Amino acid sequence: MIRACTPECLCRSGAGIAFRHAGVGALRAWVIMFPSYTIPDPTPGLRKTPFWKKPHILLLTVPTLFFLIFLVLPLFFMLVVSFLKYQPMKIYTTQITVESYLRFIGDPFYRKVLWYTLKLSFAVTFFSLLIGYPLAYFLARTQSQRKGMYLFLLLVPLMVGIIVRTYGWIVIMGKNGLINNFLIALSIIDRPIQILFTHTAVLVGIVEVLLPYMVLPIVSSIQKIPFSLEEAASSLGANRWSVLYRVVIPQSLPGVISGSVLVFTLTAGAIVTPALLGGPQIHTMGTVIYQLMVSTLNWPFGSASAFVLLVMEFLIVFLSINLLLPITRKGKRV
Amino acid sequence: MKFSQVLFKLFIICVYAFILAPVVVVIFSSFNPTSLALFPPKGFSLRWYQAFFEDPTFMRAFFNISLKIAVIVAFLSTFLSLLVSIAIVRYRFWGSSFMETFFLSPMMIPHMLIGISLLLFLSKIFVGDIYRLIIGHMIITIPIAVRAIYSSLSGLNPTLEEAARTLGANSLQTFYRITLRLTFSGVLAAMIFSFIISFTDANVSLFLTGPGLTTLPIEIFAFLQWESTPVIAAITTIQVFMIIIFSFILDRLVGLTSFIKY
Repeated sequence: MIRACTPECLCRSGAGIAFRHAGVGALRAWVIMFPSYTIPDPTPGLRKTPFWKKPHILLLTVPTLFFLIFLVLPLFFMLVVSFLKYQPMKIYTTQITVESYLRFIGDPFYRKVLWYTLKLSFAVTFFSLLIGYPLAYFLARTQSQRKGMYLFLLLVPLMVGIIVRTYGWIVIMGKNGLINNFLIALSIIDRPIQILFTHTAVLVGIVEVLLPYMVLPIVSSIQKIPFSLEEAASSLGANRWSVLYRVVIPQSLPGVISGSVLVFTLTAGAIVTPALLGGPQIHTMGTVIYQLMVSTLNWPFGSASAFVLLVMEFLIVFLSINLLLPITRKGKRV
Repeated sequence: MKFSQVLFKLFIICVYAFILAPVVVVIFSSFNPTSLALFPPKGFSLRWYQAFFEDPTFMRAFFNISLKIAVIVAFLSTFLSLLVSIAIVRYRFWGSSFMETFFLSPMMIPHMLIGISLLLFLSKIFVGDIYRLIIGHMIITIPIAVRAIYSSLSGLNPTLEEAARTLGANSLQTFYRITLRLTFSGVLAAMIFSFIISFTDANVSLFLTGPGLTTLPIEIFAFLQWESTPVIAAITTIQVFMIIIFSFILDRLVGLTSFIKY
């Protein structure tokens, strides 16, 4: 390997031994005199580049600083704020208390909201798995020419954003919406029924909004299972259901787990869909925290609630992964 | 065809109907002449589009704020993600897999938490509203952009770059004429992804918008809490078509299937 010779490597190769004890000025003079002189690097890879000149350090400095300042530091700051004492007219106080956490645990309203949010997250995860798994299987295994279009149709709703789709559900479920008009036209009901602002509306809306997040990881993990495995199972006498139950489902569990974790955490943190489809009467952790931060301006309590939610999520996700992973391993061995 | 297969197909069609229902309903009701958001429409009119173009609040939120922020975020995020991806793909160094996880981590943190923490932190150090939104959107778009560039960069054979260097190109020339040219689809995809995410984001923006500086999704959200008129349908239809066009370009560029690699 040919390298541009620096005074340093010259010293190492021995050619510049005379300069080793010379002053810096002499070295500099030498570099100016023979700027393009190259010699083979006798020790490729061993040449020491200064720490700050390493290419990956140069490349990563700005992005890392950006993330440290605007992601890590704010999260720490938020943790600190959650331990501050709340005073209505002052946002930052210097008193440290655990008042906000105690209030969260002590207040039955917040306990109820947390419990409802977790129940909702489980329900959304369950239903989107129920609907999403067959769809994922279809997308992974279809031989159709239009597979690309099917995927496109699944991804476009994901791209257009939650506000658009939540608004769509308002149009469908509203008092003068699609469902009510349809039912009245068929004279099943004579007055519009209340669909919007119910728990069902929230559940249906969130399942629809988050379905692609469940389907996509499962598609990719089913695609990794060779189709010959399914063929082998059925040629050995397994019927469709036992192929599905004993080959496909156990092997696709990693995708199921990552999809479920994604949907669970996204539901637990959802604000827009429950606020618009649930109305003022239905509270989830997302809507409650939003109100605390933006309307009530009780920042310590809002931060504390957000951290309680985060810890609960992590605990549940951690526990369920540890319960499910042994099954995956068993499936792989079989 | 067996009965069970027919049933399965029917089920898939129903699921697609369920997924696409809200978007389709929004598009149809935007052309509805009556003021109630009825579906199916009783006639055809563009009056809600006219109403949108005459509404200064929504026009400002759409063009002056959301579009502007999304374009800035697309460029800045893609630039930072390019640096990150090159460092991680080309230089295997101590802690490189940790750095990779670090830059993908905002995907694992609930976006609500990112929004809240930035609200607390940035109002403490007095950062203006528009910078606040740009920073927040950059944090959530960088992981997606890194992933898009990462996958196209790892598909690029490093010997091509070495060949260019051997033939006398300096590192900037090599980057511009080899690396960037050959991973251009990935870089463009990262830009489009960042644009779309920034334009449609609600969970981070909810906390970071201030008085007089509200992005389109948040403006719509605030509006919908009180009333619902087909003006919203008209705006969102414009947004849907814009995003469909971008998704189509993405699909041609990298294939939307590459998005599946979770």
